[in-house]
Amino acid sequence: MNDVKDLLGRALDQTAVPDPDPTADLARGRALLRRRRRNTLCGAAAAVLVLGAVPMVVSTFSAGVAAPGAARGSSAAGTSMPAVAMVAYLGKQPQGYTVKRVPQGWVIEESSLSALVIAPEGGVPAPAPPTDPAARRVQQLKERARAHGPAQGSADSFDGKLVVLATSNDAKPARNGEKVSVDGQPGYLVSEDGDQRLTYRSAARWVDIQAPASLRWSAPDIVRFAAGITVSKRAEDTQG
Amino acid sequence: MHRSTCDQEFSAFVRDRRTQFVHAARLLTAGDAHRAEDLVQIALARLYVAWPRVRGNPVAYVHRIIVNAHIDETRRPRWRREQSVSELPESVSATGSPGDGDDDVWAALAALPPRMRAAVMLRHWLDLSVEESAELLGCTPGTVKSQTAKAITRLRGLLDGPGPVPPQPRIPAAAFERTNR
Repeated sequence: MNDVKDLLGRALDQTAVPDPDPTADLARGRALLRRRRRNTLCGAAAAVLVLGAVPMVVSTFSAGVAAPGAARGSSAAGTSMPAVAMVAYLGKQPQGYTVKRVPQGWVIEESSLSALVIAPEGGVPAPAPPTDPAARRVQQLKERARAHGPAQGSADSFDGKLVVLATSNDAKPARNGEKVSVDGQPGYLVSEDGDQRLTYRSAARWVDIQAPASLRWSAPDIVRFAAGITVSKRAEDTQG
Repeated sequence: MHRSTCDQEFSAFVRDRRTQFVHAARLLTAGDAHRAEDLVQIALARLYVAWPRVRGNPVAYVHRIIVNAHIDETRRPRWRREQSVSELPESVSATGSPGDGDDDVWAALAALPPRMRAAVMLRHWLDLSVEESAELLGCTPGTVKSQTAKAITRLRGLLDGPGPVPPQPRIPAAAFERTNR
């Protein structure tokens, strides 16, 4: 193996790549541009609605009629459903991690030295198929990507679940997304398709938390959950 | 800038460069044509949106998106698709001459962690400098050097070595069970 480039080129020489036709890429690019513009407009409209709703929320709280447990204002996703509330975790602590708070109605589905998985009691409900053609296309791509993985909603899947994973000491997280602080340590919050991923520094390692869209958590919610997680020294690295 | 001009420039760029991007993506995904195509589609769609802003250096922009999307989806738990096994397939060293045949190369690349594979692709396939690779990967030049050196050592061990030398996966077996069906 004298020349790595020759070696890689040899492998690629045997792979058939169709002649590049920009038509499909152009169509995908235009569709993405349309979605971005539409989302921008929707975001502006949602902001107007939220601003309009603030006086109503303030008056509700001042009257002392806030519903116990769940409702805590608008969610990160901007939907009318309230975010799932957090409650103190009183059960047996999992191995590898110590948990202070969990979402109300959610249980620790699996706890090992490599992963902490918290899921709705009774399982993750199946998502409704999207009606938007572009969203359907995205879902098809993801399903194709998952073709060799676990079925969505199964106990072997992370989809729709709250997952905590500790990474190795030398892992270099992508420093993109919203900067947050978890117990004074740096963190980065990325939102995609409604799901959110928080990567933050905890002691001598980086920790990944995946918060599914169904929780409707805001950034402070996820940071609060993360602040209640302690990764023990016994927890194993899940990626390098 | 008018959109129709953008469309023409974008189309010409895709016609010229798409095959190179697919090759780079295939190296990143260790030969997985479907994932490579997905990465390229994602990158080119985003490029179209950003074309007026990045048309001065679109190649670097696409490379950045492809590499980041690749690393990001391997980091994201629900998208983790690494097919992990405790030992490498026998075909790496037991069939034919060691290092002979393209399946061996793909299998050896698949044995590398995603970032290490990306470092090899950037440095040895795209011929980027250490500094350029570090910027794309979001790490220090020293990390690029060490990752590349480790990757080459591993590849050499897998392809030229006398017997099977399966590297131990960094992810413990328990973490693989859920994705390894």
